[in-house]
Amino acid sequence: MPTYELAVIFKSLQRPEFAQAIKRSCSYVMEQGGLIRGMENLGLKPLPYKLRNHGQRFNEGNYILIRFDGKTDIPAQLEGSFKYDTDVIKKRVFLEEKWVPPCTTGPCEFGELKNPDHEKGIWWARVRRRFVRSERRKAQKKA
Amino acid sequence: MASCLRLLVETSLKQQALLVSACTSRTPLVQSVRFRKPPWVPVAKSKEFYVRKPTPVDQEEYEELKARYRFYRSEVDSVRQFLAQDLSARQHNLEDQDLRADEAEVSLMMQHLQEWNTHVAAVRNERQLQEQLDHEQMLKERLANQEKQRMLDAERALAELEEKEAAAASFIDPDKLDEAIEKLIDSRKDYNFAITKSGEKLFGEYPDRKTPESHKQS
Repeated sequence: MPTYELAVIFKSLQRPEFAQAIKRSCSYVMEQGGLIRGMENLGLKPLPYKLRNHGQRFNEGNYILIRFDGKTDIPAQLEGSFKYDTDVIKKRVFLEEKWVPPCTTGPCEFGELKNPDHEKGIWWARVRRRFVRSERRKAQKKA
Repeated sequence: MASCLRLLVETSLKQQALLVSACTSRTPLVQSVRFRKPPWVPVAKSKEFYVRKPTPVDQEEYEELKARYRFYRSEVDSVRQFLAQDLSARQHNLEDQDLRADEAEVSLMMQHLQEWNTHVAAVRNERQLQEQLDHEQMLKERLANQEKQRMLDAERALAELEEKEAAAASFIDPDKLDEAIEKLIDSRKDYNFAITKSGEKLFGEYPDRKTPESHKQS
């Protein structure tokens, strides 16, 4: 089973309600046969921008991360489960991938990335310039 | 040709023309007839019932010419025949020579071909042997690599399994969920920090904001 990370933003709630909300979202995962590996609390933070959900506007939210193992259809199933949960402002499921240090595979490039189409761009610019010039000459001949 | 010219000098004009044609070619003499009357124009009145007087021929001369002409023809024919025979013989010889030369060339070519074939065969056999050896070596190497890869894969899988088993111990059980959630709310994690050279962490935007008062356990 792959490991997923469920990132949920709850609206700011009192402690017991907040605990209930977290428990509910954990139960959604468990109902689908997911195994919860661990949870992390990133705290109450102002949102980066105003969010709307369930007809309300939110300026701050509680950020919770839930890491769990589950079947590959869990992300799709969770969509339905979280749809009517009014305590949740936003949620997203990420597939947890093994972190690969940079420059261990493939070409290692630093600084500004090279544009592979640079030469092509120059060529097309020249073609366009010549076309415009020839058109102008034709127009002059006619006139 | 000399006798032909002599005849030309001796004979009359008409016969001369005939003879010229006979000397130069075998084709009959054709004189073009111009300014002839068209067929619908009737015969002129003055020429009606006109009968041409036959050309007077000297019998003696005629017979003499005839005889001489026969002699001449037989000479020309004999010369012609001789030349034809000579030519055909020469051609025959030439053909023979050509054939012999061709045969010699072909045999030489065949010899060269034989040499090349033997040489190429030797080179090919050597190359094929080398290729076979290389192929066997490659197969051996591949087999060894596969075995090595299989061992590595097995090791990695075992390590992964052990890791998973170790991680499974810290999984949150449904009956311990409440406890875990209480602990979670109390412990706030913040990854928004910078690290100095000495390893000191400088926390980011909201360093003072810990667990809100409303969430604190009473």
